[in-house]
Amino acid sequence: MIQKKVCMLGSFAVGKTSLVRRFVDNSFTENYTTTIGVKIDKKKVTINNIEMSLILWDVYGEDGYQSVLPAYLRGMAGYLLVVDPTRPGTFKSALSLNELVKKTLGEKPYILVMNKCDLKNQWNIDSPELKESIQKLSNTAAATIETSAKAETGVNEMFDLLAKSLLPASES
Amino acid sequence: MLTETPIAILRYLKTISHPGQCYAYLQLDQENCLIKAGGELAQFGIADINPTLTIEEQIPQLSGLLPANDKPLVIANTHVDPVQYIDMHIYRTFDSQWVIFVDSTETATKLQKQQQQRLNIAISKE
Repeated sequence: MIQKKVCMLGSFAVGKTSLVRRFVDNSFTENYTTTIGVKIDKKKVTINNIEMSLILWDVYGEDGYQSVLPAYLRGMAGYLLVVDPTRPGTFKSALSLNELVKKTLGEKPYILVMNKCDLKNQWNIDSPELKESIQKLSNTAAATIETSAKAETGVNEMFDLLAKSLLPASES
Repeated sequence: MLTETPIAILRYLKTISHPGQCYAYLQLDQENCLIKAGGELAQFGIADINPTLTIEEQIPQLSGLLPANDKPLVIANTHVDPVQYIDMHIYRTFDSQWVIFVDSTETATKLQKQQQQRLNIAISKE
């Protein structure tokens, strides 16, 4: 079976762990528990009748990670770049992380994940700067998706999209 | 257990801070299959490794991390079990690859609490 390491990347408290928990064991909690280091899970997906085992690296999101994060990225096949549109600062982190990935590993497929769409009335993405950031991140992403771990929206789909982008060209 | 640990591992452990923490090690061939294992393997849930299968199939957290480089790769505070944190050290010598697991639960748990307090404050100020 194909086995691929994929990382959840994004600033702290954007909901990376919640998305993984919803995907892996269909659970959700409102309590925010910060991640230290990396939490690793495994889940099988089937894309185009091909089974793939995703090794999910839920990487800590505290900003200021630039010095140690490259070690966690080793062997990563693709990633989910998660932002919280209720917190504009998380787009800046996403842009920095994207640059760090490119610098460390070169171009890797990723999905831009606009999380917390259950709070869409609180999204704060109308400024020209943020629109430009979203455009920039979307342009190089394999796909952009709105998700909510709380409302169970788009979670399986985002992992399927990433898995699909990791298939060899002949299979996708 | 300590007397059975290869010199290469003992030398490496001397270079890292691991006072009183339990550890286990794997010696792998170039095809990522097990040559030898030792230390507190059961503490890390890796007591039953099949030497005929590749190690990534049996320890998914190593997926993508092998083959090892000469320079040690350290993956700190890996959280696989709900209550255990592990530092993974991966490097190679001329004929083997080595994976060392060091329990970091105590320090990581303290770090987690400190970081939680710091980030709760940061979020409340946003």
